[in-house]
Parts: sequence; structure tokens; C-alpha cells
Amino acid sequence: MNSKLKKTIKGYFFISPSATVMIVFIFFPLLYAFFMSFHQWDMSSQAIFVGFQNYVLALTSTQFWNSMFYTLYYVLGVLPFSLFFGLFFAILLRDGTMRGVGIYRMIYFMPVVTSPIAAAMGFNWIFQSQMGIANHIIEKFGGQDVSWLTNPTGILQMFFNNFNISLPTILQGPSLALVVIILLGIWQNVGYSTVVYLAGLQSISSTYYEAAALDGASEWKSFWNITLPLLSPSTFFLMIMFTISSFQVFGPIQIMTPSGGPLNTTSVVVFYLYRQAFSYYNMGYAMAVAFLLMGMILLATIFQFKFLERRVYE
Amino acid sequence: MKKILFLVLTLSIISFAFANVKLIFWHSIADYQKPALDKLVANFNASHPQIHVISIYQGNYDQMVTKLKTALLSNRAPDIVQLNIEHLRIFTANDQLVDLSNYVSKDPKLRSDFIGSFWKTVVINDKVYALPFNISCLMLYYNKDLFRKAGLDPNKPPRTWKEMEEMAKKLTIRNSPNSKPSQYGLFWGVDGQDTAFYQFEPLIWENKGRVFNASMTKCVVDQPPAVDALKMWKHWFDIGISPINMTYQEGIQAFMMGKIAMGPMSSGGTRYGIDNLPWDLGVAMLPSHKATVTTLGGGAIAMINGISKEKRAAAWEFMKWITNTKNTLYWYENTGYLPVRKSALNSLQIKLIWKRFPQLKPAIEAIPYARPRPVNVDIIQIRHILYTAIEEVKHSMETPQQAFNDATKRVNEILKREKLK
Amino acid sequence: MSKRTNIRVITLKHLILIAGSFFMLFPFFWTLSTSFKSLKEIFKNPFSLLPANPTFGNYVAIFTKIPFARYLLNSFVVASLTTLLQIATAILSAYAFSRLEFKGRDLIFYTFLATMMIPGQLLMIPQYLVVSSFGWVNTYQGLIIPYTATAVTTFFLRQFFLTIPKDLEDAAVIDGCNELQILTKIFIPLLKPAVLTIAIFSFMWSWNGYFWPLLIVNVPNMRTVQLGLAMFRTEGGMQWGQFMAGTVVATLPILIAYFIAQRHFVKSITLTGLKG
Repeated sequence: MNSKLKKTIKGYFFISPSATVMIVFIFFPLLYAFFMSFHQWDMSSQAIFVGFQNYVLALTSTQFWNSMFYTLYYVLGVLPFSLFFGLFFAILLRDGTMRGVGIYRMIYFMPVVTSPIAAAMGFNWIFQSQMGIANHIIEKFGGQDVSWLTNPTGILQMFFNNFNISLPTILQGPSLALVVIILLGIWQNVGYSTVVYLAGLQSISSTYYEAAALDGASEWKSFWNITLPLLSPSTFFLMIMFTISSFQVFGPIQIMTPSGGPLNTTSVVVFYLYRQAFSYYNMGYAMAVAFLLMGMILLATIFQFKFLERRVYE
Repeated sequence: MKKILFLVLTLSIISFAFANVKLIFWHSIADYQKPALDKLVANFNASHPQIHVISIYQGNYDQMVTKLKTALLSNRAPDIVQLNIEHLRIFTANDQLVDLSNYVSKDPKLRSDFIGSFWKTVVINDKVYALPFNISCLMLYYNKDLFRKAGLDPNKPPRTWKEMEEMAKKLTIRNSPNSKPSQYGLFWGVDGQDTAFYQFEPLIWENKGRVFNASMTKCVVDQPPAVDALKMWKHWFDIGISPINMTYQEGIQAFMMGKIAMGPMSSGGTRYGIDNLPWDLGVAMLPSHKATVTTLGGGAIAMINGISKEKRAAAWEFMKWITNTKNTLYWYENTGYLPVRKSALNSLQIKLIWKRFPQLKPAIEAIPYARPRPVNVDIIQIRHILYTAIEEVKHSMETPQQAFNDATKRVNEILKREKLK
Repeated sequence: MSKRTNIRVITLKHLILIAGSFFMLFPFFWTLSTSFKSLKEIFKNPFSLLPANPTFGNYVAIFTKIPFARYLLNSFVVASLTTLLQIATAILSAYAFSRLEFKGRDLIFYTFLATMMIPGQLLMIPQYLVVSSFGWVNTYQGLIIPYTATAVTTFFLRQFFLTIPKDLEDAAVIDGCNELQILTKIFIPLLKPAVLTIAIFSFMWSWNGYFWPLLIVNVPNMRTVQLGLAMFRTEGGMQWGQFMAGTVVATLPILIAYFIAQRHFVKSITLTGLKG
């Protein structure tokens, strides 16, 4: 046997356990789902082949596009704030000799390990309109209580209402209910990005800063010119991870707004497809929607690799 | 000797027929009603040593459909199941429930003892698919303490929409003229989660309108009676007697906390209210408008197709037993769901129950006015569309006419697609 | 920098960090506080920061009303076995992807990675059909086996493997070790903290899993904690105190595991280098 073949066999031997599981429980189901996306099927009667009809229906459906927008709002809400606060706290915690660093790190990471279901129950309780403590605090400070989970108006529109300007639907922004769910997303992500950024910061050699200090660069300048670029691998990694997970958000939405929020404003794509599949039994249609979502995630990831990885400092 | 032998033989055959049959029973009876069901099932198991029923909660009515559909897909279905009467059709359309007509025809007294309008909900294409179990009417719940405080007679709940509006105005309290009310007179909340749109249908009916045409081929909420009902509902929010920004669940919570004076709720919660509310609960028939109507809702127990003959016999025994006069009265007293048998309505016990819990009586008087909800295989999706339409109106995103026009168009598309199948 | 400004800066840092901690901890605190309030107290005064008459009633209720102890046991069995198997398969494949050279390696690796982009809900029905054809509905196998190989674990472990210098194994090869020996004798001991970190994550993902159990479990004695919790949410009506008690019990084990292992976290995440 030649050594090349031997190596190949060895390689496949090592990956075979993972590969078997993946083939049986991911790739085969994926093919099956793809096949079903060309059918009309209610889980009980015979499936009927309908060609591209499900895809056409989805792409021409207002609900589908709305759910895409809500998903986009969610991603654009969660991603930047998760990164920003992560970096912010990482910089504050950078000095390992400061007292309590370990405790802070531990506290900030606690939401990361909490289950989304449990976290959503807690947030749901905080943002109840009558018995929620959030409204209680607002009223204490003399404000009007807020309809966190029931007002469908977008937050940008709410702002522009003061000037009697009415924005087109797309630009009205997420409803407060979605904002609360975005807050929950940020709350669960910040600890993770803090730890990743801390790791990134610790790998930056102090000689860079010493050199910059000799050149008389201000702290602000060395942050822009040294810290940020050298952290770009961490940023890139976090962006990819958070993008993929944010596009697929579902659990918290199901718990906090089981009917899809006021006027369906929290009905993100996965919620929409879940409802199509498991409430309306439009299985084929739901799978077509899922493939469209997968395409979106793929595009977003490829975009990030193409345009951002080049800017990652190696 | 021969006689005894014969007796022993038949007895052993009977007991053999039921030899330790285990029945899995899925249901959606949750929360405060669950202990009453558990008690009934335990009693059944104790009095039927050969049959063992295991009852399992599987989520609310809508979730149950999902659970059962997936279980049927892989032959992991239970033996008996409690389904919302409106969801029976989803399963009969694919022959997944046992046609009980044969059992029923062998027992003519049984059929005639069930209340007629309840019985109709389990008959599909002239075949019987379930026995009515937990049937409820939508009732007007009100807070007698708040009525007293507002100077209203707590024993004279509103009889018409107009009276309701007048009373609600008196029951709405503001700390200062321009502030948000600290107490609302009315919350006609409509649930968007489980069996959506439930509380809105009687408004259409009381206005002499319909949701669908008689043959269920077209949605007709774009017609004036339905649109006017929607206008009236919106009006209650506009004049400030109803809180606009509360989900149905939050509304019930506020009602329990004494911050809302009146609202429509299922009779199935009456007993819970009596036991747990720290104030005096009143229950009344829904106020009338052009007609007097309320919604008939709730669940029935069905058998899953494909179970063995022994199991079917045992299941039938259980279904008959749990809906018999004595048990249906127990169920009624402990929950507020209506007794399903005429013999129960005429019994002496029911009068004793009324003595103990007078709030349970009005629902019985509402039975002649109760109308089952229109049903269809895609009913869950259709109701979500109708629910979204009224929400759009509530938040002033659409006019009532426009919202119901759009909803009608979308529902009709679904109905048309169904016909093609 | 003078000593005084230094103290000022540190104080400011602490103030900001404490404010941050407040936001991070408040939901936990509020959940915990509510869990010790009776329903009566919640309805009467939902906003008192601490319960006026602390009661264990909610905790007693969740363990007696529903088989919460059984749910905990199920979650524990499922999460531990899933973690164990996931780590085992991931170590093997991560080793192959980082250390062995064979035809199609990178293609397979990227195919593995791409599975992260598949929305879980898309696969559920076909997965359910596969699992039920094996007769695994309502079983531990059904809950565990489909999750014994994931892209994320493989990816992270591969990152760790890449940080280990090649000279180490070259020396071992000279000593006549085969791949399995290299893996068990050199890599695994070196990777202990990393494996521990990944294990905590795997355990957490499995412990927090919800939709898969929802789909394949129909009997109460196989329900997991998250499933029991969500079911209880619809089953329990307005029992906020009991929901919060359930939430606390469901979260506690994972937090304890995290407290025990957290020292290794930062170190291990640094190790990945995040160069891939």
C-alpha cells in the first residue's frame, strides 16, 4: 500500500465517528428537507409535488419579507452592541492586577451560560406591563408606563411621532417588543465577547505600546492604531459567530411573545417558518423558507469573509 | 352448577377482554383544572382494575395538534386524546380518529342524554368522532366589589352592549382628568395564542353577522355586520374604557388584580375565580346586541385509529364513564366547564352545586344561546389572520373595513387552495 | 501618571464595572427574589425588592406538582453523555483535521463548518423521521445520539490542536508511537484545560436544549428540564413565583458547573489564538 493511500485511510478512520453522525442526522435530513421543499405536505396526507411553487410563494409573500426585516433588525441590534460592550468591558478588565477582575469576569459571563428559555422567562417577568419592575422603576421616576410587549409601533417611528412625521414601514424600526428581545440577546452575548476580547488583548505584546509611547502617541491614538487593528481577528471571529446565531434566534421569541408579538413584529424568519411548519402544517413551504434563510446566512458569512477578512490584521 | 360455570366463563371472558389494558390519554387540561381531571382518572382506575389510564398533559390545544400530528407520523400516538372540538376535523380529514357511530348506535340512551348543541360539535359528515367532555361558554366576568364602589348594583350586570358601555364609563377611574386610568371598566380581550379570535366571534354574531358563509367556502367578515362589530370593539378602546396595550394574558392578570371591572372569559375558569380571587366575582351572560349569542368552546375525547380492539373497548368504557352524569357534575363543580348530559342538568345535585357556588349557574342558562365556532382544516392559520386584522384596527394601523377586506381576501385564498386538494 | 489620578481612574473603572455588573446580575436577582414570594404577595406588591415573607412554597410546589427532580435527572444524563460522546468524536476529527494530511481534508472540514449555518428547525422533521425509524422516540438515545457530533466542538478543538508545536509529535513519531498513542499520550494531557472548557460549553448547550426534546419526548418521565420548564409555563397559568423557582432550579446546575470551571475559561479561549 502506498503511503498516500494509507494516510488517507487513516484520516478517514479518525473522522468516521463524526462523519457518520453528521451524515445520518444532518446531511440526510438536509437532502430530505430539500426534497420536501418542492412539495406540498401537511404531515398527514400524501405529499404533492409542486415544483418551485413554495419558493415563489415565499418570495412574493409580504409576511415572509417582513419576517426578514425583523430578523435584520435583530441582527443589526444585537451584533454591534454585543461587540461594543464586550470590547468596552474587556478594556476595563485588561489590567489583571486590578482587584476583583476575576469576580467581574465571572459575573459578566453568567448570562452566557444561562439557558435562553430561562433568561426569556426572567426578562418576560421584568417587562410585564402591570407587574413588571421595569415599568415600576419608570413610574417611580415620574415617567409613563411603557407597553413593552404590546405596542407594535417601531421605535424610530415613535421618535418621529413627536414631529408628526410618518416613516415608510421598512424604516420604522423594531417594535419595543423586539427591542426587549434584542436587549436579551445583547445581555447573553456581552460576557462572551468580553472574554474573547480579553484573550485577544492579552496576546498583544506590550512592546507595541512602549514604542507608540516613545513616539508620543496619545492613549486614544494607540487604541485606534494598535489595539483595534490587533484585535481584528477577535472581532472577525465574534462577528461570524454572532451573525450565524442571531439569524437563527427563536427560543426567546417563542417564550416572550408566543403569538409573534404585537402585529407580528417579533415574528423573525425562524419564528415564521416554525409557525408555518408546526402550527399551519405547511411543511414544504416552511422548508422552502428555511432554505431561503440558509441562503441569507451563507451570503452574510461570505460577505464578511470577502470584505472583512482582508481587513483583519495578521 | 352449569349456571355457575357459565357465569364464571362469561366473567372470565369479560375480564379477559379488558385484561390489563393500558391506555395512554393525552390532554390539554392545565393548571387549576388539572387536579380535577387527575382525580377523575384516579377514580376510574380504582373502579376499573382491568384498565389503567395514564393521563399526560401535552401543552395547550394548539400545541396538542402539533404533538399529535408528529406522533401519528411515526406511529407513536396515544390511545385516547382530548382535542379542542374545533381541531377534530384536522384529524378526521385523514381518518386518524375512530368513527364511534357503531358504539353510539348500540347505546341509544347515551346519545339522547347528551345536550344537543354539544353533540353536534363531535359529528362530522354524519359520523360521531368524539364525546364532548369539557364544554364551556364565553361569559361576562365582573368584579362586584368595583360595581359597589362605583354605585352600581352588583346583581345587575349589563344586559346590552349599550348598558355595558355606560357602566364601563362609570367603572373607569382616573386619578386626574388627563392621566391614564388607574382602573378600567372593560377589557374585551382577544386571545392571539391558543384558539385565537375566540372572544371576537360572539361580537360578530350578536350583531347578526357571520364569519363564514353557510358552506364554509367563503369568509364574509368584510360584510357590514362584522365590520360594524369591529368598529364597536375599537370604539371601546377609543373612548378610554378599555386598556389598549395589554395582551390577553396581561388583561386577565389585571382583572384578577382588580384593575379591570369586566371582561369576557370562559366558564371553565369560574371555579378558579371563586376560590382564588380576593374580591366578589360575578358571572353573567354576555350582553346582547341585535341578538343574544355566546361562543361554545372546549374539548372532546376521541380515540386514535389503529389501536387494538381491546383498547378500543376499554377506551369507549373510559369515555362513557368520564362523561357520565355523576362525573360530568363533579367536573362542572370543580372547574366550571358545563355538564354535558341532560340528566345532569335535571339532577338534584346540580341544585346543590348552585347553592354552594351560585356563580356557576349563569353558564347553564347560557347554553341555549351558545353557538359552536366555525371549523375547517386550516382553522388555526385562518384565525391568526383574523386576529391580526383586529389587532391592526386596535392599533389604528387600518380602518375596520380595510382590515377585514384584506383578511377576507387572504382567508379566501386559503379556502380556495383547500378545495383544490 | 500621578498616584492621585491613578486612584481616580481605578475608582471610575470600578464604578463602571459595578454598574455593568448590576445589569448583568439584576435579572438573576429579580428571578431569585420572586421565587421566594407567595402568589398572594406577588399580586399584592410585586415590586418589593426582597420578599416580605420568604417562602419555599414555590420550590416545594414545582417538585411536587410536576416531576421536576426527574426532569433534572434526565437533563443530567442527557447532557453528560452528549458531552462525553461529543468530545470523543470531536477529538478524533479535530486531530485528523489539524494533524493528518489526506485527500479531501479541507473540503470535508469546511463542509462540517458549513452545517453551523443550517437553521435547526429546518432539519427537525426529517431528523424526527430518522430517529423514529430507529425506534428512538421517548428514549435517551434519541435525545443524545443526534447531537454527538457538532461542527462547533470540532472547530474549537481543532483550534487548540493547531496551537501545539509540531516538534512535540515529531519526537513521538521518532519514538515509534502511532497516531492513537500520540493523541492519547501527548495531545490529550496537554489539552486538558481546553477540553474542559469545551466540555462545559457542550454540557451547557445540551442542558439548555429545548426544541429537540419538545419534538421527540411525549412522556413526562423523559422530559428534560427546559422542556418541563416551558411546558410548565403554559400549564401553570399565572404562577409567576413557581415559574421563577423553576427557572432558578433549571439554571443553578449550569451556573455551579461554570463556577467550578471558570478559572480555565479565559486561558483556554486565549489558547485558541483565534487565528483560523
